[in-house]
Amino acid sequence: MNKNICKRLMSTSATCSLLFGVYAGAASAQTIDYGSLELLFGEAVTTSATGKPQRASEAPVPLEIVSAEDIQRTGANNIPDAIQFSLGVDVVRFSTEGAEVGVRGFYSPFNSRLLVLLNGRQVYSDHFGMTFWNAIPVQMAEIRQIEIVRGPNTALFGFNAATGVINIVTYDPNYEPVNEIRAIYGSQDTKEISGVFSGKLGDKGGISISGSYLEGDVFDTDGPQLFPDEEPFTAALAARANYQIAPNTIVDGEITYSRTDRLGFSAVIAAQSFPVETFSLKGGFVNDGSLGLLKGQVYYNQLSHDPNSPGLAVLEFSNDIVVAQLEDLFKIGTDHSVRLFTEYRNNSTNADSPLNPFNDDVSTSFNSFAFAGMWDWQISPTLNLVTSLRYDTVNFEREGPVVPGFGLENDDFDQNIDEITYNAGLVWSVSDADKITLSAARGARLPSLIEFGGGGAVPGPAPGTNLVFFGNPDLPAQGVDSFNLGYTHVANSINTTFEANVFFQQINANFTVGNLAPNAVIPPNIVLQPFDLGSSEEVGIEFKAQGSLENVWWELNYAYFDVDDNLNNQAPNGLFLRGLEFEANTPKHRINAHIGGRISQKFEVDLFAQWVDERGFLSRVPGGGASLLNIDDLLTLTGRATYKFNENIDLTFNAQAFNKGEFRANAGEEIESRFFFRLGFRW
Amino acid sequence: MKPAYRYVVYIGNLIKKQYPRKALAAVLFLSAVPLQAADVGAKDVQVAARSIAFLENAPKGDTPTAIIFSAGNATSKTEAEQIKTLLEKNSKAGKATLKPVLVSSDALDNLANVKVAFLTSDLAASGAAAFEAAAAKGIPTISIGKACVDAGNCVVGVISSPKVQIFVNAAAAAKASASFSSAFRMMIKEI
Repeated sequence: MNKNICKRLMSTSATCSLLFGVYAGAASAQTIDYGSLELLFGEAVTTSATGKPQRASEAPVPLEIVSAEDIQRTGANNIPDAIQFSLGVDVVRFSTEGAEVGVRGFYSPFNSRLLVLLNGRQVYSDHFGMTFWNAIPVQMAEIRQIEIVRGPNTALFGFNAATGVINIVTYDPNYEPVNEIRAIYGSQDTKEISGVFSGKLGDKGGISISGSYLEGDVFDTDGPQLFPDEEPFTAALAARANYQIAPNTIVDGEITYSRTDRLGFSAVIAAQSFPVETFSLKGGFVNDGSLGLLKGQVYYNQLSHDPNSPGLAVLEFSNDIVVAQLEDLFKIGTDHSVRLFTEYRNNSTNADSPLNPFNDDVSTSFNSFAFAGMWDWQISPTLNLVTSLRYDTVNFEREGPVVPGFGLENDDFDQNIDEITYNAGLVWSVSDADKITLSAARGARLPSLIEFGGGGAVPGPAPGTNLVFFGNPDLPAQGVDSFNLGYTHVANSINTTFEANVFFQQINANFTVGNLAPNAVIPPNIVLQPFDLGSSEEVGIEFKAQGSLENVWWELNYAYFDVDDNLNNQAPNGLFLRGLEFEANTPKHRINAHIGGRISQKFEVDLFAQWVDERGFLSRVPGGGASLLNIDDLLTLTGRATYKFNENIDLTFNAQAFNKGEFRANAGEEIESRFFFRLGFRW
Repeated sequence: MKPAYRYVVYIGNLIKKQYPRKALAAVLFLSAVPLQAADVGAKDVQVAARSIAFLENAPKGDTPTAIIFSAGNATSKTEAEQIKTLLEKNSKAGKATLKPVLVSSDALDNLANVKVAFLTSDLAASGAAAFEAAAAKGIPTISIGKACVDAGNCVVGVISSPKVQIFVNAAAAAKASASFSSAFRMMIKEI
């Protein structure tokens, strides 16, 4: 039957035999063997651009890949520190444990527009729409690469991949087993022990188990202390395994647990402690056969806040996510690759707080279905067009009491959001050394469950007052339209790559959970209700040059981001809101410079310099509301030195912002330089 | 065989030293010898060998690997020997260890136990025969460069500089019953 269909579709029977004959044969199952493919092509390999495996240099979207070697060179002990010097990335550190990450500007406390995943499983939390970076259950030693997509990629990853995506990829224990123990001691009385242990399951699979325990003090500066004087700690455990159950089929699974304190700024513009626990369970399969690369996965994420924490003693939130995904990636003829994808998602949150007299114990949830397709067309040997399209349909519902006076009942929250998103990229390989990329995309961010349904409360700005969360069922999906023109030149003679991008980005329907409601004050409570504040536009230019000689490596990157807000921060009742302030929050200029080298076979050093232009952060003012706190431009120096005693043991010294001492980098507490010694033992 | 540029320098030196006969002889030698035979590098062979690991049912363990050269063509044999030397130095191809042997184009019956075959660049008319003989036994043929793939005599062709490019002739692959993992197919150029 296949052959008959083929005859109708294809012009030659030879093509038919290629499509259904040879390639329908039993294939040896193969997930993406990043190591072998990277070795073969001499460059990083990714699936985060289009869903198909491809060389980083051929991706149709602006993409940064931070390799394990890059991470090693930063000396970083956590993910935000490891990516802080990457082109277009904005890391704002609040505390020893807490940092916020943005891509291409648009910083806000709780960045809801950046989707973060671990091996394709979202670690982004949908209750507030944010990522607890230090709750991601992964050890630095087991990270193979961190893939950073600059710009929307909702058509591939779904909602919230609105201004960027970060996908953390770990080593596959079957292909690249890692065995390493690390011990860290440093400033702020930081102590950490972590380990990764991998083993083969015969010659058909592998398993890895990793874990860590980290504790330390909060920053101790001369400025005001906003965080509870506690010793935040983080603990994580994860096990991952895969096994080839048939010549063409691999099954895989993952179970993780983490517990952490996030001391940071919240969306209500307040320094707060967020102790959370996470748990996840994932299973999947890959079949490389007659249907192409067929993949399926189901996962469950659970996140819960600790109601007994010092910072949020009155807050209890939970978020449960169930996701089932099925995709098929196959080639048609020699020039067309196609990816078909479908997804079911159930997402629910429960918000509970005795401080909330109106809508305590609220449950908000949604069910969603998505259908997506990607078509990669090699038009000619030098021209490639990739088009992705995705349709999401989301049905919300809400249970629990409502805040009086808003004219809303639970039935009003039975809402549906339908959204179509796309990515299109044209890649022109002008020569072996030159590439021009033109891309357009529409991404979308879904209202977080708290923004949509509300519930719960936190202490207010004045003693005895409470900030009560209430939702808004009329919130739309936030659309992000983006256009990018990129140019890359590889100068092999000097082993250097140049990259330049010019882009325009528009975010429609900005909203935040921190908005005051129009009829906000019901003493002693202040009701927060998000609504559409308006749009923001951004024009950006990015440059990057990186290269290496035999024993020296370097990178220089520069980003210019000019954001223009058209936001109505004035509530109808005259209250001054200032819920969002992207224009001031986004520094116009940012320069990162890095040089490193191998002094001897045993000794390596790296130095990073970062200059960030002046910027403003929203800060609470006494009595309510917020104003801009201006932060001067900031030059920080970070370095690492590693001495290898032998193949198995090394000692790394890492100094973060070592030239600054105490300094202000955000609207919360002042922060400090950090210094760490790390002893690593691998086998 | 010396790289081409060394001959140019060599001839230049002969002219400088006023050895016109030797220079002329060198020019005549160059015109008679296809230079690409000398252009096979370690990276070319390394990439070619690594691509073998992405074959479905990729070979494991000791893998007899033929290097087919044009009978009676010294240049072809030199290139084959060069490939053999480089393969011996970089014999790992995934789970396989390549064991190269030279096979003359007039002795294609010697492919009995062979799992993979490299074709030298100037097999000319023998190329098609070599491919037919290999394909009949289900042996994928590999070349350094793209010409053999374009001609339909090689399943895989590799170029390693300035950037790695891998070409697969889908029709040749079908004929040799060779197929590759989906991930690999997504990343190479098929013709």
